[in-house]
Amino acid sequence: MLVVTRKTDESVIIADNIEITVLEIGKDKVKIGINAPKEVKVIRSELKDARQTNEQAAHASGSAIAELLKQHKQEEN
Amino acid sequence: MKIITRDFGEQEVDESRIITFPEGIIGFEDKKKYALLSPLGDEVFPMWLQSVDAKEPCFVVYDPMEIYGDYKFGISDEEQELLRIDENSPYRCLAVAIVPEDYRKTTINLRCPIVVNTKDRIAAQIILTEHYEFKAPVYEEG
Repeated sequence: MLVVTRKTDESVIIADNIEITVLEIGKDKVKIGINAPKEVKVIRSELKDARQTNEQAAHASGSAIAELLKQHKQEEN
Repeated sequence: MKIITRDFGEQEVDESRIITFPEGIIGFEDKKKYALLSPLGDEVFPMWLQSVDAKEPCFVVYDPMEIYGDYKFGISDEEQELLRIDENSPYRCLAVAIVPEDYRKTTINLRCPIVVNTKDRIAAQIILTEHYEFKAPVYEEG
């Protein structure tokens, strides 16, 4: 990983057309601004994790569901 | 109305109980309407959050507070507006589960709870700034 130190209002440039600027440095967070071409998708990394976790959740197998139901029904009895 | 479910065949669902997700569920933004099914008995978790428009997606959901008693989080102003809730509104929270073949390894997503405005039946999945786990164990310790 490339590590660079930046102060407020300083930036880095990626591939000539993406500029990331440090706008504000707080106690435990920084605010950054991103200037990039429209076709470059920028998302918070948590969103990617959220999507992957949901994707996995949506793909439970029939046998896994059957087992879960069976276990809970036994618990009731 | 009748809906086709992924796990329980055709089911009758009271239309007034349909939950609307104005922004969908993360990764499934095109599906906006869901029914909350309780196959294990009224209000007994886990429940099934089933898309009304298609068999899929369907999610097994738990009440995270039932499993993690000290679970709590803040809802941003933007999210409150989307959900049409304030501090005094009735809402409930659901955690989406990953159910593997060995059910004891089931996990719930504490980082991205689904918040339901229970009065207007509007819901959204939010990503917390609190650093909760995406995969927290339900039946056994990590």
